[in-house]
Amino acid sequence: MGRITQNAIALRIARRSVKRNRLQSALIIAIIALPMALAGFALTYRESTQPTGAEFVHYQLGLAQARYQVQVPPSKDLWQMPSDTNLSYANDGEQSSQGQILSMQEVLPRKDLLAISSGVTDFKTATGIGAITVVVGESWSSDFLGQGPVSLLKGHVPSSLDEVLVSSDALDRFGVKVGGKIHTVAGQSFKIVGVFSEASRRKLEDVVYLKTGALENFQTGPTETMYYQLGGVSPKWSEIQRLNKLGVLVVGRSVLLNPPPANQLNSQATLSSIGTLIGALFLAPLVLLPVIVLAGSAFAFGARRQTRTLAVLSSLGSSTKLLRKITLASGVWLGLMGGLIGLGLGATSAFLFGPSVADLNWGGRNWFNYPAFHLPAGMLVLALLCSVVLGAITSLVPAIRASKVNILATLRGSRSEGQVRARSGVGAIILFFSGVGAIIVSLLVLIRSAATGGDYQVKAALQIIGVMIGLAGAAVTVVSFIVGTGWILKAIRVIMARFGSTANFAGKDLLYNRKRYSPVIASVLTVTFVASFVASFFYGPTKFGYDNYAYQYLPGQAGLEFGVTPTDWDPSSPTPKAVSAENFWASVPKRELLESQRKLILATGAFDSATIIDSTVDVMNSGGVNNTDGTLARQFDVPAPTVIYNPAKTCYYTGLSPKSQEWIQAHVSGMSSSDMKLPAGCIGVDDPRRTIVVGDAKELKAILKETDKGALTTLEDGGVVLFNSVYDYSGKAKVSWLKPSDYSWIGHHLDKATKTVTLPSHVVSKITSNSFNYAAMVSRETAARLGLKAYPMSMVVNYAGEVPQAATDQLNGRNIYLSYSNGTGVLNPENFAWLIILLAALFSLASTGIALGLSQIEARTDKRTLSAIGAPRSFRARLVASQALALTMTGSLLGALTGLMLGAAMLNGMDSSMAQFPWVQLAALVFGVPAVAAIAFWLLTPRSLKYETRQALD
Amino acid sequence: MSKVLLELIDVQKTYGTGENEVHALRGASLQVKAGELVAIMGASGSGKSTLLTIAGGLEVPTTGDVRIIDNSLPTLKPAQLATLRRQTIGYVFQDFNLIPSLTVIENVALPLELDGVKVRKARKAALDALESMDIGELADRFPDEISGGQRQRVAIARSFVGPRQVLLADEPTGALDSKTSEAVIRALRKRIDAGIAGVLVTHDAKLAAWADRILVIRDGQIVEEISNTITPEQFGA
Repeated sequence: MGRITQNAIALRIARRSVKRNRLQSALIIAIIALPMALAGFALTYRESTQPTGAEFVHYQLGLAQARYQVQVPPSKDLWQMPSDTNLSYANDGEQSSQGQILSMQEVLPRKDLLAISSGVTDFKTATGIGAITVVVGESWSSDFLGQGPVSLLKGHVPSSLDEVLVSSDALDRFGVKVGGKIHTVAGQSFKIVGVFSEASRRKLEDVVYLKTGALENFQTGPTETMYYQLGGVSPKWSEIQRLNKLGVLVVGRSVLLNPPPANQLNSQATLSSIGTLIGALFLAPLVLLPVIVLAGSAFAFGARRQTRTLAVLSSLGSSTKLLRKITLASGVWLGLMGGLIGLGLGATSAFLFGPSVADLNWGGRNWFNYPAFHLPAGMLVLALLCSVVLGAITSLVPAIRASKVNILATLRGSRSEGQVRARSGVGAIILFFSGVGAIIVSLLVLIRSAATGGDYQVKAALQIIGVMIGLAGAAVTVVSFIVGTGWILKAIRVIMARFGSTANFAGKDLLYNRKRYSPVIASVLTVTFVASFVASFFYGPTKFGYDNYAYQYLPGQAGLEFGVTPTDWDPSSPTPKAVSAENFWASVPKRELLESQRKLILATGAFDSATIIDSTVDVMNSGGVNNTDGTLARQFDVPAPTVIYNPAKTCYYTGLSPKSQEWIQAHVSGMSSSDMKLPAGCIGVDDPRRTIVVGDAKELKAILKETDKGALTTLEDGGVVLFNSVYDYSGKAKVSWLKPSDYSWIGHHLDKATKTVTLPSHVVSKITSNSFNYAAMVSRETAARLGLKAYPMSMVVNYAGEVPQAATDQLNGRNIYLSYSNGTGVLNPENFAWLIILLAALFSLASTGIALGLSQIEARTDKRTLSAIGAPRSFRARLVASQALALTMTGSLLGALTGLMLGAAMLNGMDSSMAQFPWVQLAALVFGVPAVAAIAFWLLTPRSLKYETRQALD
Repeated sequence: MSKVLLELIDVQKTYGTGENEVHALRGASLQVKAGELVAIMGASGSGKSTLLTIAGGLEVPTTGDVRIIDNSLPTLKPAQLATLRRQTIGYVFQDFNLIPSLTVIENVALPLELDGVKVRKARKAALDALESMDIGELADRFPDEISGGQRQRVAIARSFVGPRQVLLADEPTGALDSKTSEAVIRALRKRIDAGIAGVLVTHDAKLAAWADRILVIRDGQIVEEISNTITPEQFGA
């Protein structure tokens, strides 16, 4: 039989079969298109965020030949790529800087360079005072204006030193129109003659553009000035490399438009490519595994659908090769369709939503992070090819099975799944233990890598090997579950038999038709595995970063702190005169002043509350300070109340820990970190606060932004509310009266305390920062009982949403500078984990829905038979829902288990302090997806089913 | 004297082992000559369909030999067996077994195309076969667009297209009404008379009346052979 004829027949049957079974084909295509759509979006979006050389030239240079910027002191190790915006150092970690940063005149003594500098200057705004970005120089040069880098939106360019251009958002901030005047705080006035926009700046940025020399006393660092070469010849690559070594970054027209060959680029760039390759190797199994399993499941359905056709062909004398070809052709055809549709949808989504994603991603877009929509044609064709190859690969097993079709059994419609083979169970167990073993080996290799000292190459090599072994182990574990699906379904049947007749029937159906249902488990399993791993792997480090982020206030909170500044103390004096205690206490902040500031803050309308917080005074900091010659600068050496931290809770590296010296010694002697592990949950506080807030429910609520019942009860019961667990002594808090002269950072010299009281305490778990502005709090009643005297030392301000710039300017105008060190913008690990789980849940639900949908299409005849013999809808709905629940729950649990195992191994291996897991989110995924799937299939069960005899044609 | 095209020699077929052992055929022997139609009758489970599938090379006998034009089927390799099924044997199933995604003419031309015959030539032969079954006008329809009787005629056309010499039919009219059944068996007979050997498995005595010989099978053994002297007309055809 001719190969061409065979291929033609195979393709014809495959194509027609796809067309004939539209719904089933659509679902199979959808399962392939789903990951392809994600790939299409990611590829296109990434390409669109990468400026081309021509875009670089257009937006950065206009008609200029080059731009020079001194960035760092000279070094022979400095290098750049043609489109880099920062210099890099060769020889990883070794920054062989030499001396000072050079001036541009020293580096490039040309006279035709146009200098444009940027900085910040205080201006009077519509509501008060604002620190506004200023750009000084001829930004509107004809080489830039209208050529790409800048545009004049309104008015004309400045012709004198007192004329300026502003960005459109700055107009609102100044509250003037074109033609109006603006004033610096220093007293200079400028007339706005036009509105300007700069391609490289983000939207919503307030900028004032001035002529050179217009701003008096304008000072800016040498790195803040860009030098543009407007004429002459664009620098060659060799010249750029020479300037790099002098600490100068160059954006050159000719090298951007005609990049130098790879052999002229720094080898570090090649290393960076290798790094990217390793990253890709790391990601590839995570992306490919679910795609292969999902596509393989889809093709398994497709191949089974064709079994009868193959049996007929076989009976007509077709060769086994042709049977294989038909299944392979179906795989290729479906892969092609899925790839085309998925990649098309992905690329279209990137076209439609790419700019918005860039906005979200970068908090305001400019040309640099989204220059234009770029279609990565080559990459998309490659992805399409991958889809087709994946189709072929994943249909290989079904194709081999198809070629061994039992003609008579198939034609007679008899279908026997046979016994679950012991061989598959043994194989699954061997694979499972091999996979888990590999994960354990990966953990050991990673631990070894972490313990390896200075040899970075060995360390990196071990890390890569560990990661790869771990990933391979996890993949083998996933495969072991897929191989052992028969046994898993057997176990499910045993469990379901205990839950009544419907569940019993459902369990038996699952086992008997296991080839129909096993792809559902496989699909859910792999998607959950990847999601669990990704969520775990990234949650730990994110949470560590979040927990260790040193915020002073909670998100949506700002504050004002006041110090004690005795009028007769001059700290700038070489021998500051001692301050009398009387004068010191007389200098604490006045409540009237705080009250007036509080009113001003609330008057802006931007804040929900402003609460004056009374607390004890930190005399250690403000009072009993020793001069460098050892004399006491302040004479009031009287005992002051101090909340005492628990040294046992501190990390060794903080200096507060009793073991800090041991830790330092250990590290000096080159001991590896694994030999002296930090105690789990140790607190890295290095600057414990000492003052105690005195207040009641109102102040507590203001500090915590919510009512904490436990804290309130403690307060009311005469206990101490602790804002950091480092002060906790197993449910107690210690307050000691110490003289400033007896105070010491380490240990507080408690033996010298004139008085110590121990009170019941409550730790506020909500606060995770070691730099939170408050340490402890007692009620006014308790303070009176203990003799604690409190003063209005600070104010806490709460707000919702964002504080408008106008309000900040208004307060700045009144000399009120709120501190916003509240961690806004720091990635919240919980939200991050929820986002991953939500995406995974959507993907998992989609693949579950499709795989279950396909299995239900196969089971249609059985359901019709059930309907024909009088099974009510409720029975059928329970049947389908319980099957959906059992299948998805099994897949989710096994997937999450594997993902967690891998995540735990990698995190523990790299850094045990990162090994934290998003249990709540994972539980939501593991139990939520099955619940939603079960409910959906319950609801989608049709009321009645028309009975049809088994289709002779199919 | 006509040549023997199909011969079964002491064929035995056993399914299962031990307690589950079932003897479907117990030493069945049979010869069918060119231009001869043999009907096999028997009760359900008597082994008649097994005999046919073994004759068609779809199953392998446990013992005994099956010869089709000097080819001993049990000794053939799978590829050779496939070639024989493609080129020599035509098989008509009770439930048609047409490929739903191919048109009527593509279904009929399929054995030829599988054999490497050029598409145009295969289609021409397929159309001739369809026209000989009086269904040439259905050539471009899909199987699910035509009636049961028409589907079976397509299946018969497919079974004798090309140089087929042995035609095996398993209850070819089982799903058809009497009028359509007669048309189908008449078409079948016409092909046999053109010089090929045929075996027809049926329950229906009226259908068996079209055969030259009738073999009765019981418990896997051919227990009776009747030379058919009754004409179909005597059955009211």
